[in-house]
Amino acid sequence: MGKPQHMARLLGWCLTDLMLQHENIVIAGEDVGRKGGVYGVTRKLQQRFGADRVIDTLLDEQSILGLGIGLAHNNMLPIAEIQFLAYLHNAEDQLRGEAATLSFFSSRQYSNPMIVRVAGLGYQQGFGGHFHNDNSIAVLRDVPGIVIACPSNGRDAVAMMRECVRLALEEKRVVVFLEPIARYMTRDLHEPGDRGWTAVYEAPEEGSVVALGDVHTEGRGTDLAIVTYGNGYYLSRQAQKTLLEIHGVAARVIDMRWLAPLPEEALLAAVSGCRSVLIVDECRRTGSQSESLMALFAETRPNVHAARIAADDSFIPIGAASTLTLPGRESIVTRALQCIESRGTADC
Amino acid sequence: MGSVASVARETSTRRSPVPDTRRRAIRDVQIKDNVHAKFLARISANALKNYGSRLSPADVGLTDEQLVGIFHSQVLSRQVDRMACKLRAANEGYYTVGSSGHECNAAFAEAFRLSDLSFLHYRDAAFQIHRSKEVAGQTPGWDLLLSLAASSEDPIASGRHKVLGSKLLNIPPQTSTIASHMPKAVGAALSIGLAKRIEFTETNFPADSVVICSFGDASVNHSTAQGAINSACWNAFQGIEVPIAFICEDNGIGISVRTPDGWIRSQFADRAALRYMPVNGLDVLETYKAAVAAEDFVRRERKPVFVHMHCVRLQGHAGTDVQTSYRTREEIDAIENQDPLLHTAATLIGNGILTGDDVLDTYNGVEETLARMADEAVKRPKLESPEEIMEALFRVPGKAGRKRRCQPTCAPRRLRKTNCSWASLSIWHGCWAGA
Repeated sequence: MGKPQHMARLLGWCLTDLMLQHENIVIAGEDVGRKGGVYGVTRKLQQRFGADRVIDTLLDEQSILGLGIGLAHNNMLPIAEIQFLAYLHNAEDQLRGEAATLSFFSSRQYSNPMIVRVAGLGYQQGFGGHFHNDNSIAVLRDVPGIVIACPSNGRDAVAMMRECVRLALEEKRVVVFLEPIARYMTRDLHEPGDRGWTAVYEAPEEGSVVALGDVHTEGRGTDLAIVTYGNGYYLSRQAQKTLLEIHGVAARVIDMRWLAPLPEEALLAAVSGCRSVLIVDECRRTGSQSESLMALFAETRPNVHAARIAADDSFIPIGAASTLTLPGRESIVTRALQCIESRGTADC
Repeated sequence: MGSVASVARETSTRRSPVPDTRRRAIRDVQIKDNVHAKFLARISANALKNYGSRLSPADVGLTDEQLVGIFHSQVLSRQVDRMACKLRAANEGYYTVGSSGHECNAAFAEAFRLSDLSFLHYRDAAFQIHRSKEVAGQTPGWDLLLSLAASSEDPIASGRHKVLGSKLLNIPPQTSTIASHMPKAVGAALSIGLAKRIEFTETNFPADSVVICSFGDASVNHSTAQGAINSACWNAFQGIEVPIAFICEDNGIGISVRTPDGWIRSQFADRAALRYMPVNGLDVLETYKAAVAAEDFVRRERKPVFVHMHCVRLQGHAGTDVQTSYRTREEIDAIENQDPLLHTAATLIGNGILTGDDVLDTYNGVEETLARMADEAVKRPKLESPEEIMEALFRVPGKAGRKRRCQPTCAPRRLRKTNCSWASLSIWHGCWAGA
């Protein structure tokens, strides 16, 4: 337990503790039970808690989300899993039209608090295609009232999952917990063996706390603030090192953590002192959070020069080409340097 | 936000589009309504030769008082439909999709328990009205009028939508027209057995409760409906408890598109792990008999049942839908002649429970009372600001973070079926007792 672990393992332990703490938590999804999830996140949970608390469902996302809502009606706390982000789309109305509206159409008399774990986003090496590397959550971003959490690393994933359970219990929220698949097993940040992306598991009462709307800022550089999340945060941290060591640019990297509601105040505070902001968004240019962020800085910080780098408006191909449409460490560095050079001009 | 909201308030016409001084009494609003005219004409002339049930109330285990109670719920549902059209015509109401032709669904409210969570078809006003009679102090007519008028005093949605729904009556609000309520109904049914298996006792619904899920014959074609029914059967097939009564209210048409003859039966009569029960949904006694059989089966066996309730859609899909563009006048005439209210009235008269005059008194009395209430309902407050609209999106957040401050211990609510007599019913019932 004392060894640093990757995100998939930490999340599994976190779910174990939550199920021990809350007897009404039920996990449900495709392959979450006997197999323990296609990425092992729910490994051994069914052995420990039984097939009725860790349910292998049939292959139908509408039924999975419907089960979640139904369990919530009966005072249980569902943690439903959508195996891949692209599989959400056939069932999305269960969130948009049903779960998210129940409180609204009942004046808060009814609620269906739930957490929907969704494995998604790009950058998986050697696996995928567009279904398994889907990089758009536009379909969720505009749904009133729901929370979208997106941890970039294991330590945050644990703290944020605990906060999501609190949000469900206390505020009766519908929460989507978006897990970047490509970071599940990541251990190293800068070079092989550095263990920069692992963390030691923290017990529930002792662990760090990440409240809804809390963002994380890495570094104090004032040359540039990079605002990002998920895989983008991981790549930006790598770019941050290159920028400093090769180019002498001191950048800070801000992990949004919460994609909806947009943590506006925390983000504005986090970029304070920087005249240049670069938004790194692994989701597609159209409909991604980078649009909201550009609008946020344009509307509230006219003296800050904000620029963005986002994924191209394309589906993800297979093979070696799978990351060509996505921001990468090099492209982040290049764009960051452009921002620094053109600071003060209208270009950036 | 503040300034935007205050500007919106200043320029608001939300309180009502019609100034008090120009307001017409709702009873004076004229709407064309052949169904209404035919009902009055046939009852007045006692022209009920081919109407009424072959059964008597006693045959299906109903007392005379219970049958009168169901009839009253059906009449109130019908008159609410008519009032919805009048309110729309007066620009005071905002929804005209009615329940006319489906009123025998009140029999399911009679047969099932109040604690049975019910995800309802939007044509199930009679069900909700009838269930409301199990709880003291309910005013279903008034509530539905407030909802039609989009008043913020509407007890379920506070004017955000015209929905059927009630917290006390265990009817979650439902706007669905595309079967999107069905997956969660199956989920709720699964939750009842699941809670027992994991020994979780702080449930909202009793361990022997069941779930009701009703829908139309057109929306059952939706993949969402197919998936939900499939999921129920997939679970039941392997012995997992799925106590759900699917009620398919088959009026033969979805807006303008006909359901092929025999389609519903051939799809659902012979499915793995699904008990199929067809019923003539124009005959309230037949419907009640089927409802009791379905209730008994699902509560005892804890398996899904599919009640196929044949009924009709009287009027267009909504007030704006002109039936004559897709139905011949002869067809419309034939459908109007199958009015389930005429059948219930004929059954009551034929069994000597009510006279024709009693039926007319009930029918006209409910209308008159409802019209007077409608005049008041339109004056009730509306939603006034964006803040007021949005405050129901989720529970007002406390200060986030740090430590969990509440335990998941919402107390179980065990609602018992209240004994309901005809006398107490008339006192409880706002419409019946007067405005």
